[in-house]
Amino acid sequence: MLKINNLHARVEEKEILKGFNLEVKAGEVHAIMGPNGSGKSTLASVLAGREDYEVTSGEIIFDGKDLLELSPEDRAREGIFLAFQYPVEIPGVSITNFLKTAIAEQREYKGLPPMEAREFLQMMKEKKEMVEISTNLTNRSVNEGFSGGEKKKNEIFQMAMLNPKLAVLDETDSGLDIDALRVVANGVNKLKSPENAAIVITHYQRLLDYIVPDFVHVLFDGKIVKSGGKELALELEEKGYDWITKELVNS
Amino acid sequence: MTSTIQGVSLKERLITEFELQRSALLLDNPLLDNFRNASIKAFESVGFPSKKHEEYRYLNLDKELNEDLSTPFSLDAKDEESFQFDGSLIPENAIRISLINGFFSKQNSEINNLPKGLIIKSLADAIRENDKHVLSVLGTLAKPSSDAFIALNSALFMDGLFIYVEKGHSIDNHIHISQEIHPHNMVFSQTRILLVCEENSNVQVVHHIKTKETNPSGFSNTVIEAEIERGAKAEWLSIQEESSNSAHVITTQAQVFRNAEFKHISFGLQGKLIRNNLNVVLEDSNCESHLYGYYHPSQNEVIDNHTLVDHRKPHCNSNELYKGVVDGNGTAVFNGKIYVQQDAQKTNAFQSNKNILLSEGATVNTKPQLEIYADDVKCSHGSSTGILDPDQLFYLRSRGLSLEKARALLLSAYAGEIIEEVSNNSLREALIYRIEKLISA
Repeated sequence: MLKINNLHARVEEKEILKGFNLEVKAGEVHAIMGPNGSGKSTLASVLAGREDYEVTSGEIIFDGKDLLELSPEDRAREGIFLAFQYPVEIPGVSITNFLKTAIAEQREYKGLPPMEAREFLQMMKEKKEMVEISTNLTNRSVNEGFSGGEKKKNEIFQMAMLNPKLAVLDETDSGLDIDALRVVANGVNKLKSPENAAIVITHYQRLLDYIVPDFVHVLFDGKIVKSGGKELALELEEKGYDWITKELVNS
Repeated sequence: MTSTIQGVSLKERLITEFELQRSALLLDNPLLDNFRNASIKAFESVGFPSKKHEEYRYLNLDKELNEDLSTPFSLDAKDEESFQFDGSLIPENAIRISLINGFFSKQNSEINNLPKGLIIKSLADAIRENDKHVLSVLGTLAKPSSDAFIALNSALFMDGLFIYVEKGHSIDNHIHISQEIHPHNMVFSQTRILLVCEENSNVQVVHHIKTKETNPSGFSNTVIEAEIERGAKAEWLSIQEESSNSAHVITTQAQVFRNAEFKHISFGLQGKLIRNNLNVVLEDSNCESHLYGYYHPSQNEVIDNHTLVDHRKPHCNSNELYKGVVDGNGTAVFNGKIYVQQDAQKTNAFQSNKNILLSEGATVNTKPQLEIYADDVKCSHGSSTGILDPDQLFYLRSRGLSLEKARALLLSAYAGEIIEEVSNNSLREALIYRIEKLISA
């Protein structure tokens, strides 16, 4: 589904990703862990198409398409969803209106007829229940005045509504209490299917107790330096990132 | 240089026109003579403002004040026939008033069967009938000595509109005023509107200003005087949709008395040049004013909003929010003055101006001015000018919205804060439709 080859990217003249490689197949969950500054959020931003990140070399192939050629909106329409680390507040734009527009744009891109109002409302209802988000919240402006937990729930709610092929969760666990973490993880798990995949970017192992990854990769200084199964996350938790850096220096 | 000479000659010609029409301008009421004389003298001494004039620094009127402009002294029957209301801006059961080139059009207005407590008539008729309410208010709020356009309007208006709401009456029906200019002969129209709300009355007015898209261009000069007496409430919604070759100076002078409330919402949507002078005097204690504005100049349009809130007595609240979107080579000017006089203790006065620039060629000149002479007051003002937030745009695009849709959604939300202030649902919808059209243009 996704193939990243030798990706180099920089922001404001500073090279952050220095030869990143990753392959994600349908049905898989990949966790990317790493210390602060290792390039985790840059990877998320590059995948979503944020313009202040410049890809200097390498390629990203998504479902056979050159992702780097696509605008942020076309990437979303192709099925990439980024759950933001810091979701933006948009006063005056209601979540319902926003999602209605997003779904309409996605369907138009795929050549599908517009969704019936009734069908849309039914879907809203189902997905709200799935991610335990209240109507109270979805009637409000996008993220305006939301708590940290509410913002993250809203990200997962949007993900449920847009039903992406590849979800990229950027530090979705940061700033969450244990209840919100459980709700968010439940949402992700329920949305999991053999046809879609997820990349879970996190600093801590905690989230991976709830979203169990098939693969764990350690990102350090812009490259994946170690890959393994879910037990690698536990090992990291126990030994800390210093363990990896030392191992790198010794080798 | 030539434009300055044109301005001078226009001034002289208007004074000559005044002399020629002197008897007609009395409107069969000799009591008007002093007022007309004082007005033309005031105009003669100040003349049209140049860019050197502090209040007109950012507004170049020279080009618009064409020497061929002339004020009409009668209403053309053909103009009355071709007049049309814009149904989308007429709330259910509204009372419809048509003003054409400064004249009250009896043929198009519907003033039979007015609700109890409401008097509406042609201003010229009210003056002819020597209506005491007209003569006691006319020119006392908008003083000819204070501004060239007020002086000129006071000297030359031939007609207009008189609205009187009697004590204790709450008028459920909106009053819809459609003010249209037909500039077939380089019309320099002078429109005068007088609103008097007696004690504890309540009224809502929709003022739709439009000019027929024709050549040659026209210039309109409108003066509105509004007296809001004790405990009364008035809401005035002004929608300005001028043609691409017409200029308009609109002066609104409101006087608000004890426990009374004045709300003014302005939408400057279109026009070669629009200047709003909105002056609100909070004359007595415990009164309120709420001023909201949205403006959207594009292409080479200029929309200039000058507002003044004058707090004269204690315990009054004023609140003001003006938001603009400037596109193309458009120019917006905002100048918001708040005076808090020595007597006006316990004043709450807030003002905010926000601007979004959509293009390289867009210009905004914004200047909040607070002058406070009392010591126990709460006042604040703020002004910001910027572009659409790139993080918000990216967030929306990352969900599949095109750049165009994302911009439209953000701009609609931005305007929505002002539209929300309009109390009538159908008017809000009509405004949303118009603004969305401007956004996607």
